[in-house]
Amino acid sequence: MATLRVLFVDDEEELVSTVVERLELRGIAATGVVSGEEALTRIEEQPFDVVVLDVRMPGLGGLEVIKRIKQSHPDLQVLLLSGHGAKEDATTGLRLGAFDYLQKPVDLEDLIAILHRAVAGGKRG
Amino acid sequence: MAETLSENHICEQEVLYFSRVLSGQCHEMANALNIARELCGLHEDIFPRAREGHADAVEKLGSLAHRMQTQIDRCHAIVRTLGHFAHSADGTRLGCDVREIVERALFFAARQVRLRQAELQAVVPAGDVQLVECNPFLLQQAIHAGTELLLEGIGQSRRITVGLTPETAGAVVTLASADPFVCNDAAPALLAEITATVQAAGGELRETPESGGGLKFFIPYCRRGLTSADSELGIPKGTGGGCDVS
Repeated sequence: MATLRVLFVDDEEELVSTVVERLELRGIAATGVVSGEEALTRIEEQPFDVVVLDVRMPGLGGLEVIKRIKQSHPDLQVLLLSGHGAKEDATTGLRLGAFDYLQKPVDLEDLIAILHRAVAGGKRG
Repeated sequence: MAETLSENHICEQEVLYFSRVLSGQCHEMANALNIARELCGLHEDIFPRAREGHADAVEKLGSLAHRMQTQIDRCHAIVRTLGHFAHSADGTRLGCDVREIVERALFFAARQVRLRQAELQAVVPAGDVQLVECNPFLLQQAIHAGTELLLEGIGQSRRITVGLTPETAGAVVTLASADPFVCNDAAPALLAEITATVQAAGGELRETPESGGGLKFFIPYCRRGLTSADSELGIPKGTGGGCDVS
């Protein structure tokens, strides 16, 4: 089974580095960035299977980033993460092509299961 | 009738400001707790290797404790500041520490500034406590609205400076952008709001960004003698009433 390549995007640097480290301990090739702008740049530089994207960030927010990702990389799977759990954000995110919309906090093992499902093209949980 | 409407309007704005602060700080606290949760998870991940005596894992556990402490401290700062903020809604007081009020307003404004990719620089002098007579809640609200006004018209420097200067009869709170202010559709309404709020707080709006120098609020010093009950929150100085501005 090929190594899962994940880009984790959140403006909380400490959250990014911790989640990336935990994913790596589980054999996942994880990369972390702290802004939507940085995420778009990184996606052009290296291949990923899934992008995990925080909805609310300074600058480009998650919904704007997913819109741009889906224009340039329509097959790249995107999971949206939110601390708000606003229904309208979830609806918009899914309409823009997100595989799923998760409310923080998310158990890491659950997140990994969803990442695998997203790559396999399976159904949402 | 007009006066009643105006009071109602100010009241609505107070509730709006209170809820904005509360929701913003709830998100900040949730962020800190999410990080703490992941750090606990990482601790669990690493612990078995540390127990086996792997030096790198043992060292990592030490740094994890420090990182968790940072997030706990972050939550404590939020809770402490929110507690003082909630009490600041009790009305006009004699003997308010204007420095604490400004620092608290900036603590909350830091989130809105960060989300707008701007920078907030505070120039609040240490030294003698400056006791003013004002409604601390409304002064915080005015500072928040002033920050919002400057953010709406901010230029490329994306920097806002907030200062506090003692004058003979009172303290002056200054909010300024590093760039010339660009007037926009939202500015007139915000400016009217700020003027009314500063007045209701017991102060006076002395300068607006339209005149090129940022915003200046004048808050008069206490003119009457104080009893301990007049002092803000009734808390003796040096018991942690202030807060960190980040």
